Amino acid sequence: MSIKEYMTHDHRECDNLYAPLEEALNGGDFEKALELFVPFKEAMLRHFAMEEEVLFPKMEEFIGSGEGPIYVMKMEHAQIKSIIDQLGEAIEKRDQQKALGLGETFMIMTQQHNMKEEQILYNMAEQLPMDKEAILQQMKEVKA
Amino acid sequence: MFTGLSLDQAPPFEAPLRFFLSAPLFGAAAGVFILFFASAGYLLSPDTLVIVHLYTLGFLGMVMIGALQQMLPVLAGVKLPRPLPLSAIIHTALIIGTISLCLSFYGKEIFAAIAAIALSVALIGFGTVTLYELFRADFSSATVSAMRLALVSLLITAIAGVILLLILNGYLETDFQKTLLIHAAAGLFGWISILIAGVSYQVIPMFYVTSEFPAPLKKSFHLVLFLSLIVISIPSMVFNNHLALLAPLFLVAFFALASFKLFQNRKRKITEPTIEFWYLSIGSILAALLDGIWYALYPTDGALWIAGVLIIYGFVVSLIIGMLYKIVPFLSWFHLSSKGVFDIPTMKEMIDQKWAKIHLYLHIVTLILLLTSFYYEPLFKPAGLAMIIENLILLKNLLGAAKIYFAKKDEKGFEFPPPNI
Repeated sequence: MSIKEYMTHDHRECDNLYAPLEEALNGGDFEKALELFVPFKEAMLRHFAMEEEVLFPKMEEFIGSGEGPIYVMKMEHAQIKSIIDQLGEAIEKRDQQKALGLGETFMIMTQQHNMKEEQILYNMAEQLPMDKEAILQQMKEVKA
Repeated sequence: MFTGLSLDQAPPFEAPLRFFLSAPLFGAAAGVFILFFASAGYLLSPDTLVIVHLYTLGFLGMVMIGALQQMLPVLAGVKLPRPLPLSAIIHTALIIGTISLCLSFYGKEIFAAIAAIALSVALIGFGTVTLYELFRADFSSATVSAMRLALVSLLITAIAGVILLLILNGYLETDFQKTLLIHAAAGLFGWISILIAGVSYQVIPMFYVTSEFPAPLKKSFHLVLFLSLIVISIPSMVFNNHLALLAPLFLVAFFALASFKLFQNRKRKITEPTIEFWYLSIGSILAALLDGIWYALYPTDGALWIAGVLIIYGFVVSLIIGMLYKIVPFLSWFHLSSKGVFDIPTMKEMIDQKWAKIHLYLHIVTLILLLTSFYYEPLFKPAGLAMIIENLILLKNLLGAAKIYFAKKDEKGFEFPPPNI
């Protein structure tokens, strides 16, 4: 499995964790939503950690840091994390409209972010002369 | 290498926004024209041509060009040069071109000349610049390859359109019907349908959490559709038969069914207005195919009218409205969020879902009135009125989202436009 395949698959896994959470919110079942929120948030944070702790630093060895694409991806991670936190608060406050609105915002923000990674960044990673096997292994070991 | 994704990879909101906000104005103009000036019941009358082009150029062209500017960096890592001046030039040329074209249908040669020049600048200019950038993209994908073919089709549509203008004004003697067929086929099934397919490959699985389109379909659909256009253009030169359009129509309907299947099995169960607009779009293209088959058996002008309305107003306009309701509030949110603003309303607070729903119902009413007005003329004026109201609601909804952006921007005093433009 390549880095691109693994990470793309992980994006879909996160989506799959989000979908039932949204369904619970839509049905007004806050107990269930709170329950589903935990593994969802964990999966998201783990995905960010795999990138920010393993993949990105390795890539930066080749393309340098600074205000390049990796910087943009990290900024967007911060934006997404902030929505997830607000979403958690809205669920705790049982504010259905707010939670669903944040959910929609989360979804579209995350999806356009994923597109950039899948269309561009992961392709870039595949083309750089790095030890991809080792990176993949290290990423799999990351815990949330 | 890898220059595509920079810090400012998204063009400033103002660049695509001017296109998005112009669309409902042209839609409302088409409604005003129907209500006060146009008469129904003719296929190729100047009145019909005006209505069609207010929508295809003024509404659809606007949104698609605006959205492409926005999507290219995300989907292809391609950034158009100098987004603000570029969008200002294309936008202005498209407005002037569309209005002049409509006036030219009533026999004013000077307007035909202005339209030919302005639309060439807008469409051929935009198409060429974007194609050039797309061929320089670092990476390709099914979506990028579909976008290229869509843009090639845009160029063919625009060139055929200019040739038609020259024929109408007596400068060329080329066969009008055959050129018209190529113009319409390349426009509806090339530029519009191929772009819809290419964007759908990405957007449907991601936004609605569906499975992917089957890999062979993603790989070949846009190519097959484009080839079908080339193939039908050749015999049509000889036979001059618009039944040939059934081939691409069949393909697009097939693609719509494939999308429907994805939607049906989506993991994100929530139903929202954008999905309903999408379903209306799918239903319309399937109905258009049935109508096309009916036309093959019993050719009447009425069947052609219905096909036109179903394809343009049912299939394309519905889908575009649904996308606008996702894109505009998101961009408003995204640009504020990127500037570090945190107290931003959520996407659902930016556009009241209730008003989006009201728009959906009015859009269906307009569609039905338009479809039936060919057979029962008294329904044509009400169709115009419904069209005006529908577009005013769209404008209100989009402005609501845009206003939040501008209010926050003023409040926080951003430096804008960004210094590097």
